[in-house]
Amino acid sequence: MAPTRLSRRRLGAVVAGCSAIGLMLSGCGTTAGGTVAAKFTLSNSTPKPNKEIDQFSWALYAEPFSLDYAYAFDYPDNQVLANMCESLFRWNPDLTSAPGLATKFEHPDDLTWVYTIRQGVHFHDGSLLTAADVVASLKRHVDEKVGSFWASSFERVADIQKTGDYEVTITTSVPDYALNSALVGAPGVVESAKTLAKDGADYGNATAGVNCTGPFEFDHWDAGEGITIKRFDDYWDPSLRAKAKQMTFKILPDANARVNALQTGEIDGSWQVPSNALDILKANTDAGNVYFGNDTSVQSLVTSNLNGVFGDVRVRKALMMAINREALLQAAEQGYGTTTDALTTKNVWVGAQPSTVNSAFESLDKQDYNLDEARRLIKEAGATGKKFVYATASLTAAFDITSRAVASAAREIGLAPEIQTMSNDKYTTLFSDPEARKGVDLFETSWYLSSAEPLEMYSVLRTGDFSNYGGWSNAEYDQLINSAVGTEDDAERNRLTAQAAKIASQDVVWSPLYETVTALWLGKRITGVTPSINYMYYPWAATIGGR
Amino acid sequence: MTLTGTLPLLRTRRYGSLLSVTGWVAVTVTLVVVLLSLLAPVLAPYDPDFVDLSSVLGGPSSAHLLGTDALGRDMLSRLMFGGRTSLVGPLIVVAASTVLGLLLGLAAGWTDGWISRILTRVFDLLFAFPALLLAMLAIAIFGKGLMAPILAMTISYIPYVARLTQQLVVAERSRPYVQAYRVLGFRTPWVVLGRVMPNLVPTVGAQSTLNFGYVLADLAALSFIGLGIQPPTSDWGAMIEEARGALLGGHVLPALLPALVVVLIVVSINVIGEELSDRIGGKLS
Amino acid sequence: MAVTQLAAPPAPPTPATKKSPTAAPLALVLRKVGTLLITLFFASLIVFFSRFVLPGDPARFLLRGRSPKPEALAEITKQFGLDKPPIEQYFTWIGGILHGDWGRSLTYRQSVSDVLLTRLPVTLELVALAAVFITGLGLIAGMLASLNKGGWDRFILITVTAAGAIPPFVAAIALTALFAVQLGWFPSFGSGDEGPSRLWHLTLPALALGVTFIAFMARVTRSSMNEQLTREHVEVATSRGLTRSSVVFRHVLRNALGPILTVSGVLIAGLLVSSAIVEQTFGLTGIGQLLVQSIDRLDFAVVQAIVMIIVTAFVLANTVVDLIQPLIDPRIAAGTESR
Repeated sequence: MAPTRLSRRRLGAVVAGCSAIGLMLSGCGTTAGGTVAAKFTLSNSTPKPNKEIDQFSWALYAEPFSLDYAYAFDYPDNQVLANMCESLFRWNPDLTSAPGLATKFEHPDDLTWVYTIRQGVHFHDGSLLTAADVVASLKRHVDEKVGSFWASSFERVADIQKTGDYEVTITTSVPDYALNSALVGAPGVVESAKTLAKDGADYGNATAGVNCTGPFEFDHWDAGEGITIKRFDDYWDPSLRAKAKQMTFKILPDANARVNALQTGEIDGSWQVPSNALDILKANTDAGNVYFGNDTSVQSLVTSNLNGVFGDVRVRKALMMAINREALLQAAEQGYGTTTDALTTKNVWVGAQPSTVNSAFESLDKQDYNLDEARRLIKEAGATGKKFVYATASLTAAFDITSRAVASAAREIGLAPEIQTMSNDKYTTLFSDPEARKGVDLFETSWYLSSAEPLEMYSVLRTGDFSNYGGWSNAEYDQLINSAVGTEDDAERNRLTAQAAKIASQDVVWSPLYETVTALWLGKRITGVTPSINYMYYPWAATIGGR
Repeated sequence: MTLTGTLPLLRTRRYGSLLSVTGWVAVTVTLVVVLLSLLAPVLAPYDPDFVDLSSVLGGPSSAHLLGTDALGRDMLSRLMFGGRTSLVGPLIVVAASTVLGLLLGLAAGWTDGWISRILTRVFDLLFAFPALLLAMLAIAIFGKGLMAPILAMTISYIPYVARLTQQLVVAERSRPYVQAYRVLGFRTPWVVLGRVMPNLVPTVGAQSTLNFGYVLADLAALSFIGLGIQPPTSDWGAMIEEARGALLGGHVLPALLPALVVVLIVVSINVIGEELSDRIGGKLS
Repeated sequence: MAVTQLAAPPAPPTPATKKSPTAAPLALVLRKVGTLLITLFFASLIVFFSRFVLPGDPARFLLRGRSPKPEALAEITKQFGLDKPPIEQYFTWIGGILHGDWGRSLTYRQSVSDVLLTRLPVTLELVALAAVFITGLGLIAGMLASLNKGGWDRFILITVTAAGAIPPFVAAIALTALFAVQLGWFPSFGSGDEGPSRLWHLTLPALALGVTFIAFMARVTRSSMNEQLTREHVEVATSRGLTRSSVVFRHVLRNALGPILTVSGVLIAGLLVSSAIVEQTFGLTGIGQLLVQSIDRLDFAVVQAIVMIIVTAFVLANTVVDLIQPLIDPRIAAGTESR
């Protein structure tokens, strides 16, 4: 898997229900241009647990930066937090949403959203949840002093008000059908107002922890070692009551150590199983099982400097043509994924007509592997011998391999790449700090969506958007996206988005390489969780019990 | 004059050859590795950074004598080019620390006044910092790469050379031949550099040879944990680190080969250094 | 770490170094402690002022790799007292250290002392266990080599030389692959709970950490004992009919202990640095791994603190060894530094 931090924006409306199986199968096998037999099959469940257990352990490849939802912005942070803190809505394994801490919402006019808050919910310290807590939690995202990483979701919010003991009203300055789906994740998390006030700057760190409403509560965080959470017996939803009394996340940055631990049973389970080890782990059925599930991640190259050698679309096209994506997928992920020409995965196009999905994928501009054509384009663009800087970090083996492969491909067609390897932390700043991007022409990302709404991806490429790292600007594109954001009808909105997607692919704004798949390891002691990317925001650990 | 006759320039035991059989084997191995590295641009069959995704993790074959790594890069070429970065660092450290250490040690050992005392104290201070630690501190300030650790390690090895030199110089000072030169009016710099120094160089040199191996291992370790040479530059330590992913999948060669080379070179250099030290009489009166 | 660190040649007994005649033990101890404190003082100067080596705004330096928002800059300035003159900053830092306040970690958003103290026990235990292996195995190998000339000697020498050239990270990978994954005799990662579990978990890491030094210890033991074996007193003892083992233990070994001890003392402190690599591979949360991480994450307060700790341990170990030497071998004149 190629996890990485990135800045996301949540756009799109609340997803209507749809067939779980349909969604499952759409993420597998077939790809635009690839007919390689899939090495994996997706599952939409694992065997149900037949008993409760006292405790189990889970591997984390990195230590969460913080358990403060405002800064929980990455795989390790979110997968831990999702079990303790809940949001206004829940993201199901099949990527649909359901009521969470908000039982329903109303939308009286274009600019107003009224949320009814669930009653009878307790925080881990026993106090009752009310609208005041919701308001306090949401307002932190717009507070400059907090500096929330999710602030962009609230860009169009004018006001957040408590309009009743159990009612909260959000007013936006312009129509925004995006905000609602954002509330499935970190932007919608509710924490006790008292706790927020009491802990202040220490909220969410290793000593303070969190005091939320989820099926697990914070027990202790041994900095650098692990985080232990224990079952919260007063959890409001009996269907998601934790089946284990306690669980521990063990922090093990070293991939080999992690895989060893999974094999010896010292750690019971893990998301983000290193793809290098998948073949061996799949074969080791004595120790446990590997499952594959929904993922919304696309591995792409971000062009962050459109003023340099990549300013010419021919050069961008040429670089794509120089990369043999099938071979790259094999080398980087051992084939656990699918090559793609789209910046989104099919499974997020819920509510779209089949013809729309078709146009969103099949009719995109494709840059197939063609070295001669690539060389020709480079010569034509006068870019032979030109330098560029490719920033990368050793986040995973896949990142390393991709950076080398891309650099080598660039050299083959006559460019002069320079690989700049940064520390993981520094690499993360590329996604939020324009200063960090100075002097960098290209970098890689694993961009995953946190809602079943393709606009979440495509709105990022509007002129002036926070994550429009290259500063690309196309008036027609902007117009399409902005209309889409203001369109209530799902089918119509997706149709507009698909048109925009086509423009983006024609201009090779970002270069999609391949889609990854969620890989899950369940040791022989445990079972129950559904393999799906929703583990980032859904209390997945509560579904795990014993076999 | 009789005093300009045979002077004990080298206190070598002149029995048999300079090194044992093992020693000569070690010299050969070292020379081979060094030559292959030096001539890498000419001899290596492939560009070490050439990615060939179609021949990933291949075993030894006619096309790739030592197989390929996770990116299809030729192992033999990478090892050869890797030697250039892996050997250059320790070379600079050892050469610079030896030269500087000799000079400083001479100054400390020959003079009697405050210069000597201050130098001795400075050496004491530097002894407090293990080389690897000083290298890490330097990296924390200057950033990753080779420059910072090389600088830091040179500084931390100087006191060892200097202290040894100081010890030797002090012993030499009182020897009759030196006294004789001074009585006869030969100028001090000439005596020191022309006569005393050559007596020291073999001993100090032998010790420095040993240091080479240790510096190499330390720099490789730094590259391995990601603080030294940054991949994709081929460097043996960095190569081992890059190959760990392949290890997960059961492919041993990409990690084993650079590790073997590192071990081989360090052993060879240690053997040479120790034999030289033994032969050239490290013991002092 | 470089094994030669351990073989630092002694300061020559020249007219330059004031050699006090066999002074009273108390005076000696005080002198040693005095030297220790002075060295530590100068070392702290180096550690602290190293931050100012790079030109430019120190606040930017400390915030490298992070978004330099004005609030962050202000907080850093306040926390490190960057608006005050460097000398004052130094004294604030030193004062803080003596009070147990080592600053605040940017990565963990906690006090540095909290971050350090939770990790110190694991590293200390790892180093202690490694030291046991080194002295135990090294002594035995060295003694065997020295006492059994010929075949055994060569064999042990070669094995030990080869083992000594294996970098700790290679040893770590190999040991894990064999003993943890293949054979399952030892855990592959983690430090376990206090007690026997900790010991079991730390065995492989300690071996990986110590492999280089076992070689060195063996060689030092061997050469030291070889030297002793040629001494007259040994010949005399043997000729007087004492059994070989008694000769070995009471005469040879005891005298050979001097250099061995010298080496051991410094060894332990030096292991702290190499532990960084082993800790990383075995997933141990010790201060070595914290050091590497903090360098990577540009968390300078932590780096400063750890370097100071290791330097202190190093110098302390040296001083202790210097003080113990005369007890082992009264012939060592007090005042001569002997490492």
